[in-house]
Amino acid sequence: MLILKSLTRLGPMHGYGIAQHIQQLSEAVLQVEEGSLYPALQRMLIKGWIAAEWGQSANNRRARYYRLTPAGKKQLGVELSEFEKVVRAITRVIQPA
Amino acid sequence: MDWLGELWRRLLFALRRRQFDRDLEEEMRFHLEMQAAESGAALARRKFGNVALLQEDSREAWGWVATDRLVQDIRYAARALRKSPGFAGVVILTLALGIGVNTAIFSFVDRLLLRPLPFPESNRLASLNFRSTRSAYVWDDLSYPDYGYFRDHNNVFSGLAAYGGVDANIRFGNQTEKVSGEVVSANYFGVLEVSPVFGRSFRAEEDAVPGRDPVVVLSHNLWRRRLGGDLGIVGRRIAINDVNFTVVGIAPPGFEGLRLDRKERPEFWVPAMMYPVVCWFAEADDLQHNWGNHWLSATGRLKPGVTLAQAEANLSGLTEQLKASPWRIWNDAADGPLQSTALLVPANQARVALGSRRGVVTFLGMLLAVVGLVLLIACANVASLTLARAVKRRKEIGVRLALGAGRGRILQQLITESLLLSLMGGAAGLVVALFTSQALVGYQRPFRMELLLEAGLDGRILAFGLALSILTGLLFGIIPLRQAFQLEVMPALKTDSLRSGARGFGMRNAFVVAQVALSLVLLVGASLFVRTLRNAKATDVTLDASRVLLIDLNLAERKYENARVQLFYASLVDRLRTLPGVERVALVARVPMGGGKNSLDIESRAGSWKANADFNIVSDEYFQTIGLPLVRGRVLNRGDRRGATGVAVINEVMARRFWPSEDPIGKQFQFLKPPRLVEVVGVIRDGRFIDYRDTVRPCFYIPLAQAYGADPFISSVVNRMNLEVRTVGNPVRLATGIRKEIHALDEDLPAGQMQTLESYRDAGLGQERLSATLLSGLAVLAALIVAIGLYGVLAFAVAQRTREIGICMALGAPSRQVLRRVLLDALALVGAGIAIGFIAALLLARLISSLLYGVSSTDPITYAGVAGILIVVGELAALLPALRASRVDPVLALRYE
Repeated sequence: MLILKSLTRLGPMHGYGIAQHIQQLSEAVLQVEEGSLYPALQRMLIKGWIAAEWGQSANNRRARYYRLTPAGKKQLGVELSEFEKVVRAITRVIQPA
Repeated sequence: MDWLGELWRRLLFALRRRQFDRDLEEEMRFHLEMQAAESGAALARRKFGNVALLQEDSREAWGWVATDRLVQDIRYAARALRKSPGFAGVVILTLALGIGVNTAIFSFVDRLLLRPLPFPESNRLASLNFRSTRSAYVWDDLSYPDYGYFRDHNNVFSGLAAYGGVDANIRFGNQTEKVSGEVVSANYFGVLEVSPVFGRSFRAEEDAVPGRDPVVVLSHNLWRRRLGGDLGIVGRRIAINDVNFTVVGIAPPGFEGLRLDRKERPEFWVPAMMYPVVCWFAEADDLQHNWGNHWLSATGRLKPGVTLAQAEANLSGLTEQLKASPWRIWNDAADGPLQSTALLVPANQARVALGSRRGVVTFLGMLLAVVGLVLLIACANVASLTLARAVKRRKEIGVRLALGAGRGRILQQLITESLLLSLMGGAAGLVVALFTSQALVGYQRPFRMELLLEAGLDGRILAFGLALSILTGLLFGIIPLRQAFQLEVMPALKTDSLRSGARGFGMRNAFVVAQVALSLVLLVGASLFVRTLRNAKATDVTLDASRVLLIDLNLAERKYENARVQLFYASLVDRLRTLPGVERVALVARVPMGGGKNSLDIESRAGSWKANADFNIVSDEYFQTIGLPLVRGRVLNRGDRRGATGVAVINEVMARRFWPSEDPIGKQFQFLKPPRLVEVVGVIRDGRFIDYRDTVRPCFYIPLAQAYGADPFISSVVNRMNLEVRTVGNPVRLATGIRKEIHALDEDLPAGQMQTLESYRDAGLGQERLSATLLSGLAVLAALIVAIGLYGVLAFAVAQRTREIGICMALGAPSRQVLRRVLLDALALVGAGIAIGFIAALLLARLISSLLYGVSSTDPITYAGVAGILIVVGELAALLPALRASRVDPVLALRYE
């Protein structure tokens, strides 16, 4: 979900960029492990939520850019609403009565 | 659609994996560099971790890792096997044999017993049979009125169809071909829910009046084979037995009716009311009212919701009512009232007449058990070989464990290797299966009856072969795995592999013992069947059966009158006598061991006894032709002609039974129907009519010259005589000459197959010959496999104990003692196997005692002989390793390593 959201914000972005983005926005609370980032990206490629193509990075290096596909957008919607449901539920439980 | 896209992407990955790998690598390098620029190379690498591992994790997401490993394992296994071609060859050959014969026998089990009928909802079809409540007798034949009664009065079938087999001559252009077909009720195709591919099936009104509606449905095969697949044939006419029939339909390809116990596949179907036209002996039959002529079988489709048991109860009720019917068998048989009741069986289980099914099941069961044993022996042998290999490979496996291979991974690899071997064995086994099943079909009547057998592999059989291969692979593959599993890394690496195999050794001994036991069972079976065959052949009374030609003459089919029959036989015998090479010529109604007999009720002249006896009609010179010796009195001669005193020659059983302490010559007895008085002129040795198991009953022979025109029953027998010609030298050379003489008298007479009495008798012994040949072949092979196994174990043991033997010899043990020691080891193994095998054989042989003849299933000579053979085989196999052990040079052995 976080990766998909980042891609909507950033547009096409490479793996390193996604990791940096999540880390910065969450003010370093969420450390994205490379160990889970790349397998996750591969899984999403299979599912067809994201597509990959090679492009130039800001410092003129070849880098693989991922972008969201329409299926990915739909999936993001599904996951966000799921997430909100959970958050609401948790909030209700921990709220002082 | 989602999963489709996913599948496509996965496939794409598999195809372009090299590029994907490069992409991934570059992507991660980029990541690292970016991070290094930010926080320094060392830190970046520490944070990122193991690049190769991460790449692998990412790749795993694509789900191809398992496949990758499999491919890797297969490659590795293939390489390992190529390195030891001897081992691979022996294993594949052994397995091919085991799997092959099993697949072949299974193909017959499947076709005869398991495979359901290829009709819609065939499990709702039920075959109508009857059983006696007083004996085990079961039958399924009905007369047409019986069938009509059950069809019209039952309320459990949505339709009850009847069918009966028939042979007829069909004319195609100017050729006539004898074709098998079926006479069926009009609803036959409807009940089976089979529709002709072209045209239609029969209408109800076409099966209403005898002989009125000549319509026929042809088989797809006949239509293609003889009519070139011409669609215009529907509506046209073809001549069956010289009567024009209109072709109304073509049956679907492969349709072969309900039954497999037929000589040939049915190729045409006509309405039951056409029976008198297509069947040569039913011409005058009053089909609709003759309750005595039962020639039909019936199969019905159960109404929805009706169970088999309910239907059977309903039909049994009808059977009760039938007892008031005009046909006497329903209320009265020769030996008192026949208590019969309906027996309903799923049609899928009645493809062979129920009465014969038990014999088929016993025989096939025996064959399956035998080939199962062969497979077990093969598995034990392969497991033992694999075990030896596993011991040799300890070091290799130890190295791989030390390099960090997971035990699970190594097990997977070893199992892959076993499966690869067993699958290769299975593939080779298919060739063996094809060969075996063809050989089996080549035997005439291996099931003691006509059966539609075919040799061939289809999907079901291939699936069985595959499943069996995998099972086999797991069976022999798993046992040696324990070794690899318990292997400890350090000792495996350190010690010499030759000294550390003691553990596998006990297990290999156990395998040898098991193999000896199993092959003992096979050898016992084989020798029992060989003796059965020999005993069965010995019951044939014919002298030099290979020199007597047998020709079946069917004059009934030519519709000769009595006078013409008489003239034909007389001229034929005269003509043949003059042929060079012919020694004797005779005519006989029933050939010994020919599968059938005739009998008549007779009584003594004084009426002191009444009995039923077999009879045979023979021309003079018959006894000389087959060489049946005369016990007393005289044989028949030319003087016993029509008008002279009626005479008969009787067999020994009849003489003993009716004239126990008197001389039967000159005594008289009479037939009850037609009344006729005959005088006994001679006593002849006993002969058997049906087969070698037939109990010899009282039997008399009457001269052909006195049998003409006596009464319709005897005339019908006279019309179906067999010609027997005793020849000097090779009888086959005379066949053409004899055929020419027959055709000179009647060129349209279909002179059937010509064969010697020997091959005729052997054809009747199809099952016995098959059992004897198959079991002997397999038993010899099993003994060979055992010899190889034993040799392997001993050779290995000697190699392992070279040091020990060397020490013994250095301490002064004579080499003769070493030799004896190894031979005794072998004897101990073989002896243990024989002991176990004896018990197993005694238990198993009891099950086949119904297939044996003249030899007990516990025959001590057989058991002792077989044990002797195995001991000799075992010692021969042990001789080479024993000699090698006795020649160990103590100096070399001690310096070894």
